[in-house]
Amino acid sequence: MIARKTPGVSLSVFGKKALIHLVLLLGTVFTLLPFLIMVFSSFKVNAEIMKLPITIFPKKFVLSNYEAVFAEDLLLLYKNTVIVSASIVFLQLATSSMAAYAFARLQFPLKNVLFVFVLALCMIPTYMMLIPRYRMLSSWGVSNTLLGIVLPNSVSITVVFFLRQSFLSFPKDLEEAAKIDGAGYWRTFLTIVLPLHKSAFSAMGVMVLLFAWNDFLWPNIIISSDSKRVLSIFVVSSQGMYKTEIGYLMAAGCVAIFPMIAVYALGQKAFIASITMNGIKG
Amino acid sequence: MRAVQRCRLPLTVNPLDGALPSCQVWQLGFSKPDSWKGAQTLNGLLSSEKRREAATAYVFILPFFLGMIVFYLIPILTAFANSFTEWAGYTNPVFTGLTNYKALFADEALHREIWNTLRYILMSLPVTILIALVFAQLLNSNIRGKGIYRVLYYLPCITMSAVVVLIWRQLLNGRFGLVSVTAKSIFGSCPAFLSDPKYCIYSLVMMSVWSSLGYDIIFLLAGLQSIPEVYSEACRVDGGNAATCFFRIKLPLITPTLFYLLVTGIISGFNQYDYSYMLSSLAGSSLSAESPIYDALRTVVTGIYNSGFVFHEMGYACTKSVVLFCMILIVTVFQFVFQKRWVNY
Repeated sequence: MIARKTPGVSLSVFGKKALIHLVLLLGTVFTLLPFLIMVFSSFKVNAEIMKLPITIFPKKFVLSNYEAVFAEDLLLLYKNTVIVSASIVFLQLATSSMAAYAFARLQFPLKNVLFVFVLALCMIPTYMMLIPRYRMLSSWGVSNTLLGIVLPNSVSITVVFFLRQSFLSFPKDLEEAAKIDGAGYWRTFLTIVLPLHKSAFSAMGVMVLLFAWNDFLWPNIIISSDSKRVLSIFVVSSQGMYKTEIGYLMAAGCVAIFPMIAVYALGQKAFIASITMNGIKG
Repeated sequence: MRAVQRCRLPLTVNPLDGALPSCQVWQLGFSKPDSWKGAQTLNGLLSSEKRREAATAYVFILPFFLGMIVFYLIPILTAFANSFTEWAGYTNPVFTGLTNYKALFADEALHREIWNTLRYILMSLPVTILIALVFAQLLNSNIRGKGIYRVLYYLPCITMSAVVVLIWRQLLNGRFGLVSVTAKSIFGSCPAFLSDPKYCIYSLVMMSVWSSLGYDIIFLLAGLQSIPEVYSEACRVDGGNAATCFFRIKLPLITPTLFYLLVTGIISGFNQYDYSYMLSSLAGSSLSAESPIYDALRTVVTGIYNSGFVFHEMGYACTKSVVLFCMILIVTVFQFVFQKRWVNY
């Protein structure tokens, strides 16, 4: 009886699983196909992209689009974007980790008042600050500079919140032991707290890096000259300039997102780990 | 307390758009960590140890607060103050009282912007959350390759908006784009998503769904995974079928996650700028001229950008931003009030 029943059951389980995989694969097609089209188009000659019926794989595989993109001052664009992103990540992590440590571990007058003040500020959306920020930075003479992109992004309330949560979730024991051994606050912070929360830092770092690399609104406002452009502006402005050179545009797009895809591919384990860690901790 | 556990870290929240912290606000409301105690008593302050601690603490928060004051507090106050002025940017602001606020009512462009933004949110958000819920539920079953699916679904979320627009303009191209060609071969015709003012808001919606789906899936999946297996088992034992178990047990239990996605989704929807700006400027309409395409795509934030940086009406742009802020505030407060009706903590 049991022996007769088992294959039937496993078959229906198998069918159900296959169905689930089928739907999930359809979802994958939805998310991935646009990427694939971009990548394949970047290796096609323009005539092939615009030809009907459309093809997915390039019939004639060419590198000319990439040659054209690299002929553009790509190194400068990368350099600008890397400088901007790295500075934003560094500044946000530095300022936020210090503030988060003070809010999580130290006692000081007005602590609650200051924390509520920060809370209140985070409710206010960015676009309200765009115009005053722009006026302020141009009066300092840093509009149209990379510094102008970095400065307003040097602090982040989100990062402070998350790091504070992460600090609070750890027992104080190690820090207290360090204190008994005679370490000051700075030393405790630098040698105990920072190494302990590596995963939280990498998660925040990736989050901020993605934002800084992909941001368009603020650079578009503050930057006006070609030599100070970042990749996102480059991608948009070349779409305006070379409307019909689709192969070229696709190559530019691939070049612009490749570093973040690489970071994601390398760091996604830490990514997922940090989410689950955060979830358990609450 | 349970609300606290449900609250998770979004992967790529724009740290500046104010979307994430609303989640953290709950956390504060529900959990009071040890350090969150009343202010120090005067006696406590007097001991030199405590004073040293306080001094160190101020040094630790100094860089952050300097940034907060210069790049947040001052701009916000300036925006409020300038919303009552006429200010071209290069001149000094002139106080005009409530003139700007009165002008809002007659400003048809603004009404258009608000309408477009609302339409965009109402179309993209429910679709995204619904599809994400289906995929999260499927991913939550006992199958192989979950991790790979999750990684692939999240890929569009890490793509810069400039490239999202680049890809979708290619897909929606009326002559040789994959979407249009497929639609034509199935339905015989395809609306011109990029150049017809009637349909171009749908291209905005498609991009938004594509680029935020993975984020919602990961969130909902985490929510579903946090439901103890015993609940679903109890439901099965009691004779419920899969649908009953999902709608009666799982769905109510992930309402906090849904609520979070709804609140942050609406806030980021109101912030829509990138796609709208890029699509309309690439459709060949200059932002300074009134064109049907731009009219169909303009959102509130593009409107603020336009008033401030194209028409140099910075005072009026500040007024618009104050109004938008109030709108978001009202919607968010409304949601928090009504959450009692449907969110189970």
